[in-house]
Amino acid sequence: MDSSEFKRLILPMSRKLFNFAHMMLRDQAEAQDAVQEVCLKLWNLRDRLKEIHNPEAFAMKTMKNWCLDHMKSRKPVYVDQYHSGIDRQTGQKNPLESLENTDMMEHFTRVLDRLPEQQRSIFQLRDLEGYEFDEIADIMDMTINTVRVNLSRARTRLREELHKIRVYG
Amino acid sequence: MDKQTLNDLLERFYKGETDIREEKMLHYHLTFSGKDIQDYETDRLLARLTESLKEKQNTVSDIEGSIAAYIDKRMTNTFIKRFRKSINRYAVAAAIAILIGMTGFLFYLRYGESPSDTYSDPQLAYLETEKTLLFVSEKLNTGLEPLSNINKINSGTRPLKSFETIERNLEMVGFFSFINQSSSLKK
Repeated sequence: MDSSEFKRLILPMSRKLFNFAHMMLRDQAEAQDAVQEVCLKLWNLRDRLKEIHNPEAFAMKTMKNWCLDHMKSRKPVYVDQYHSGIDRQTGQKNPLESLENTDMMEHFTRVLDRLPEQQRSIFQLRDLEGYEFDEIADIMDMTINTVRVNLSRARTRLREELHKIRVYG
Repeated sequence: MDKQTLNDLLERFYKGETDIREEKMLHYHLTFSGKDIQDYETDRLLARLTESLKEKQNTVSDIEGSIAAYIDKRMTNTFIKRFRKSINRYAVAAAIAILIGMTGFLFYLRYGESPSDTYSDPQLAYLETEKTLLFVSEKLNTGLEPLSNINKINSGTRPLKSFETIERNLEMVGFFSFINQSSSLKK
């Protein structure tokens, strides 16, 4: 597999990889590093990629493992990009600023960040990326039933928290 | 979508039992439908915020561009590294080849001429061989000359062989005395 073929395969999924890494690591710069590292790993495995049934799920799984390793090795630093309202790369105002529900989005992302890592990742993969349950199970190394349970808990928790915010402020 | 269907769908949604198509339908209904939605304000908010977050994630930075640049950079680095590595290998191989060549050349200079230990004429070779063998034989005989004194020792010890005959006769005498003794015991 040459570099152009590799790019054709990897680049379309790079945003998904980035968002997934961002959801797990909660840091944009680290997420970008994660994507680069995973791309490097995939490049080293480029000859095997053709034989893999679902390269995207494989890439996401590699990303999940990389993020978990990284989270284990790093110090617990909480950096919340969504709340700053500033895009670190461009230095411009976050598009969320222009939305009416900025406050609500801020609460929402805080609640999302407080979810357990597995629930957060599964919410990202299902509700934001639109993966099927079997793909998520493959990526997360879980049974489909466990994925459903985690997703159910994540959605219910988000709903409860949003309800509290909406009713009690 | 009637209220009962919506309730069922929502219940299944929060249990994680809906498929992608049902979830899209639910999101669409909650986001864009205006009637009878007051009871589902929190669900609507969740659907809206999820959509907003999805949009936001898709607009953050040019990740594809940066990854493409990163891949290109890595490819260039890999090519340069390989080039350097191959250059090093060729340099080492060339150095070894030069070393071997120089050693061979010096060896040829030192021991280049082959020794003249053979003869093209067989007659001459025969004569030379005969001469050599005669020389060796002469030297070998000279080497064996001191051993001729051993013959003198042998001739000195030859008279002692008659003692062997006397010894044999004495054994016979001993045998006869044994017979005499046994006959006296019978008496």
